[in-house]
Formats: sequence, structure tokens, C-alpha cells
Amino acid sequence: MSPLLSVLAAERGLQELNPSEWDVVLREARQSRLLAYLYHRAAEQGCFDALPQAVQEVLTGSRVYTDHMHLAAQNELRNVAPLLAEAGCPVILLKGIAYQAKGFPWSAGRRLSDIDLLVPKAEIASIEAKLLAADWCYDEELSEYDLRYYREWTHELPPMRHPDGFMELDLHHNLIQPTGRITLDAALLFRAAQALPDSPFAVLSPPDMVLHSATHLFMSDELRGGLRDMVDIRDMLLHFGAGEADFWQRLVERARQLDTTRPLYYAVSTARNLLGLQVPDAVWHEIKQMGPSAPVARLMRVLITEHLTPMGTADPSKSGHAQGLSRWLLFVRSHWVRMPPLLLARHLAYKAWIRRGSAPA
Amino acid sequence: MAAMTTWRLPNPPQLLVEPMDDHVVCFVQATGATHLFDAFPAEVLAELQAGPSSTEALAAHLADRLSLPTAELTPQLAALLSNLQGLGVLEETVA
Amino acid sequence: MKLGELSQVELRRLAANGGLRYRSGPFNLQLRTELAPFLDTLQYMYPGAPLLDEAQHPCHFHITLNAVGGWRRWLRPQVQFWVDGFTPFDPYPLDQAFPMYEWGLNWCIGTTAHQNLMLHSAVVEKNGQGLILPAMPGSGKSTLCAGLVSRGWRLLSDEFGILRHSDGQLLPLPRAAPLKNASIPLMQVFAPDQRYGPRFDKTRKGLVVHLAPPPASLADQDLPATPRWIIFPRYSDGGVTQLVPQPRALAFTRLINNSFNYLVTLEQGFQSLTRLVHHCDCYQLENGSLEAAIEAVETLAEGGSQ
Repeated sequence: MSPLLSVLAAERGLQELNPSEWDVVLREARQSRLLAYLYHRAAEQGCFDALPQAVQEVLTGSRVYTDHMHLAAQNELRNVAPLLAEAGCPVILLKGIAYQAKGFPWSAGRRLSDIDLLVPKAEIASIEAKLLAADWCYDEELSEYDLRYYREWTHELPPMRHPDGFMELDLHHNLIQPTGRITLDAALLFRAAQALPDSPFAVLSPPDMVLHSATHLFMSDELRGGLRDMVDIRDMLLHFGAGEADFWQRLVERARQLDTTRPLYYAVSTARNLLGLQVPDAVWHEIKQMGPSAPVARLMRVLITEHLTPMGTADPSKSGHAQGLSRWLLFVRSHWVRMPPLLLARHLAYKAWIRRGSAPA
Repeated sequence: MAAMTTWRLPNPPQLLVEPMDDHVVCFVQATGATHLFDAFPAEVLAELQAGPSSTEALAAHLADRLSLPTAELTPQLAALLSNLQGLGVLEETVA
Repeated sequence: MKLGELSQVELRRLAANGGLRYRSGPFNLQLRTELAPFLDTLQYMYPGAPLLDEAQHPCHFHITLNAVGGWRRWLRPQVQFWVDGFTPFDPYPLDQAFPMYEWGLNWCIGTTAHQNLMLHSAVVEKNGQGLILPAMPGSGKSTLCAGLVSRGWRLLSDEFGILRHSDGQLLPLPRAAPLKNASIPLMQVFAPDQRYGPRFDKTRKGLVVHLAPPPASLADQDLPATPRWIIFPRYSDGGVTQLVPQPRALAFTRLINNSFNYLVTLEQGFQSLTRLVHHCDCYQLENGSLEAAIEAVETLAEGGSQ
């Protein structure tokens, strides 16, 4: 078993790892963007000063960088706040920037590379226009195809960037792609959102936060780096579950209401299998019913485990074919959920063509 | 008695101030920005390092140090103070 | 045990199995490669690098350097650089594996080792006192650094001024210094006794020949130095060589712009950099010729008048 997974699942404390196990954990955590996360867990466990010097240095280097990115995100958000306030509509912070705004203890050390915002669909064009007028711009490398793809088929605009800043801003009008078989009524999210004190922004309610992360991970093509998102989900479930007596029941009901039961099943079952999450028996019994048939569930468990397990010490210059195939299958599956079949076939053909035509792999 | 506006430097670690010859460099924790100030603002910051002060008292001190008429100096000082406040280098307090 | 003490067979076996671990300055490195000519060059450049025991030393960086597979290798053989499974660069021609390794390692350090403040500078030392030579465009710092090293200064680094936050000490990272184009024949004439690596024609930076770190510098790579002088070199061919004092505030801002990670390190960076500038004498060196520049620096170091 991956030593990183064993410490994330709290089967072993960080102080129990010997130097050669640390050598593997550092690699796995760097691949998974979890080095700074481990820094804070070691500090919480009171064992940081007892770790090997190289480990302290690597974890500290990543913690310093993450602190810097958190500050950069706050600066960017402060700069863009007046402009968004002008729009006069609710603006919800999503994912990393929301966890930071809420000050969740587990989010210290969480890598953050962009700012995700959710705004009402009716307002997104006018907000985009305001941002463009204030010098925010799209990546010049985006092709016409990319731009059109975003606008027609996704729930977000392409990432925007300000020349003076170094964080990307992602404007969403929904949490999942509208073309998928699952549709999600964004108005429900806005109704349940929680305002942040002393801020023009809001965040999703706790159940919605979990469901967003679950849909994002299990219905997206961002197959790389999934372990970090899985750790987010596990930590949220732990945190909210310990804080509010009726959280689990609200979560289950909300998943039904938002039609996101399948992603919730994958998120909770994976958190149990890989990261040692304890779920109350009655709740788990209910969530289990949300899964696919037993053979499919078994296959998906294998694929997800393989995909989320870091590569570790494997020789990257001879990386196995099997993992690539498993990733590809997940990719196809996530698109199958999101897109009508004809469109899917076109998109896959286009992507395959791009792969062939691009630089040597 | 009318309320009096005074200026003060945020405490470390919110603001780090480091004199460097006749300049001053500052680090503002809230923004992560480093600022370099030449003699005039450096004089203001040095004075405020000793303790909070009002615009009037600062103007009088600077007029004395730089041998300039207070009336000429005050508008420039007011603009400087508001700039420094915008950068997070100064805080306004109403006593 | 040192890298140079391994037999060729043993070195290749270790490296192929991912078990080659050695220390470079403050960093533990693990290297996996099957490229025999590259390993020969590595051993030739760093015979004194201490090998590390896997059971004792986790590594800061795990690097794989291998030929890229597929049909292209027959037509145009290429080498790829992996760090923890990522490939930050496009492949290089296979015969440029050593420059790729050196630049790739620089990239790894510059983008992740934020536990220290990192200046883009050469650093040398004499009598325990460190001299920082920031790299400014057209500065000729590499040539000056190599020149000082050939005159007995200890090489800390040709590329990284690594400042430890806790005590402001400069940490050595003695590595092969890539000399480029015209500075190659200059150095080979000026310091013929130094060890030079193979010629790499037509790299992305032109013709490159590496100058090996002197054995004594490599042997002392765990010994930090106290910063004493910051000299910004500026090369002007045939001009008058002179040291011009720099105001501290100016040196401070120039160093911010010259740093790899000042902005990332926030208040720690501010504290380390202000302390550095307060503890050092700062100069601009108008550098007319290598010989005169070395003389000016040595006079300064001996406490002579300027």
C-alpha cells in the first residue's frame, strides 16, 4: 500500500515513518500536491521537529509557497471585489478560496492555483464584460474551438487573468456541465448559500460544498491530482459531521434534491475505502443504495483506487500502460455522464487528433 | 472637544519597518508587498515609530526638520498620509 | 563513500535501479538513469560528492533522466527530465543530457526550495567571509566567479545565493558552472589547471562547457559562509575597473529583482534580505578586464582602501 495513503488514512502517525518511507511519501505527496498539507498535519501532531531534516525542509518549502498563493488569492479577490459588487448579484466563492474564507483548519496548506466563483447565469455575460473592460483577459493560446466549447457546452467561462495579478479567475454559472444527464438547479444553491461576515461574497452551504467537490472530482476530466480533492472531501465530511448533529441526514437529502446521489456515493465510498472515513452505519446503508449495480461498483472501485493512488517510486520513463488505460476509461466515463453521445464522439475525435498532432510525448 | 485624527503604524508583524541609510523599507503583511520610501516619507515613518501623531503635529515636526513653511508642507503631507494608508503602511485612529 | 569511488559498473547498476543518491550542497538527490555517457560526465564533474544511504536520508529531489521512447529515437534521439513524475521541459537532444540535468536541477531548486531565500547570484568565500555576485544581464558574474575560484576563493555557487533564514548564513551549492561561448576560451587560458567538462555544441544557450567545482569546494559543501560583501558586476570591455559604493536601499531593491523567491517568502524574505544588506558592504564593480576585476576584489577583501 502507498505509505502516503496510510498516513492520510491515519492508519499511521507521521512520526512512525522511517527515513526510507519518508523518501516515498515525499514523492507521492509532491505528485498529489499534498506536501504543505503534510506540513500542517505534522505540526498538529506535534512531531514536525522530530522529522528528518530533509523532510522538514521539503515540507517547509511547500508550506511557504502555499502561504504565498493564499495571500495572492486574497489580494486578487480584494482587487476584483468592487467590480463584482457593481454587478449587484450574489457571488459565491467555490473550492479552495471558499475553504480559506471559512478558515477551515484542514485547509491550511491546501494548494490553491485559481479563484473559482459562482454567479447567476443571467449575470455572467455582464460580469464578463466588466472584467474584460478592467483589463482581465483570456489566455491568448486558447483556440476558437476552445472558446466556443466553453461557451456552448460548459458551466464556466475560460480562465481569465489580470496582467498585474498571477491568479486565474474562473467564473461559473453552475457546478456541472449543463449538457450532462444530470442537471442541477443553480437557484437552489444560491438560496442555501451562506453570507460571509464583512465580505461581499458568500459560500455554499456545507452539504452543497461536499456535493460540489464530489461532482467536480467524479464527473470531471481532471484526472490528475484527484487525491488532493478526495482529501478535501474526506476532511469536509469529518469536519461537518463532527460539528452538526443532522449534517449527514441533510447531506443525503440534499443529494437527492440536487440529483447528485451518484457522485455522493463515489465520494463517500472512496473516502471510506482509501482514507479511513467512518460513516454512521445507517447513513452508509442509505448512501450505498445510491451506487451502481454491484459489478459496476466493483469495477469503479478498482479504477478509482488505481487512479487516486500516487505513482510513488515507479520509473516514470517506463510508466505502465495499465494506469494510462484506466485513466482513459475514467475520462470517457466522466464525459459520457456529461455530454450527449453524438457530441461526445466529436469531442473525443478532436482531442485524439490534438494528441497526435502535438509535441512528442 | 472635537475628535482628533491621529496616525499610527500597525504593530509587527502586520508592518515591518527597516531604516536603510536615509531611506526606509517596509513590509506589509496584509498584501505581501514591500515598499521603499525616500527621505520625506522616511521622516514621517521615523516619527510615527516613536508613537502615534496627528497630521498637524507631523507637519510641525517636518517643517522644523526640513526648514519649510508649514502651510506649504501640509497639503503634500496630507496626500502622502493618505497614500501610505492606502498601502497599509499607516492606520488612522480617531481619539 | 564518494561518487568518484564507484566503479563504472557499480555506478551504472545503482543509477539504473534508481539507487544513486548523493548530496549536493544542502540537497539530497536521487538519480535514476540508464544513460552511460551522462553518468561518466557526472562522475568526472563531481568525484567528491558524498553518496547517501537510503535508509538514513530522504531526498529533496527524485530525478529520472532517460531516452524518450517510441520510433522517434531512431531518427532524432532525445532525453527527457522527470522530477517526481512531472516533465517540466520539452525533451533535449540525447547528447545534451548533462546540461539538461544541471538546468533541470536548477529549475527544481529555484521553484520549490522556498525554505531559504534564494538569490540569483554567484557566491564565493575567503577567510570565512562571503562575497555575493548577483547575476545581472551582461554582468559577467560567471566569468568573475570562475576567475576568483581559480585564484583560491572557495566556490559556494555559480548560480544560487542561498540564505538560511534562521541565521542569515550562505549555504554552499558547489556545482558545475556552465561557461558559455566566448568565456570558454577565456577561462581555459586564464585557469588551465581547472577541470573542464565535455563541449556541448548548439545547446539552447549556445556552446557550453562546464567548469567542475574545485575538490576543496566540494569537500567543504556543508560549511556555510557569513555574507560580507555584495558586488554587482558590470562588464564593459576594456573600460576602467573600479568599485563604486552602492547605497543600501538601491542594493536592496536590486536584490529583490534578482531573487528567485523574494516575493514567495514574504516576511521571512524581508527579514533575511534586510539583515543581509545591513551586514554587507555593497558595491558596483565596473569590470574592464578579468585580471583587474580580481585584483580589485582581492584588495577589498584584504581590507585595502577603495
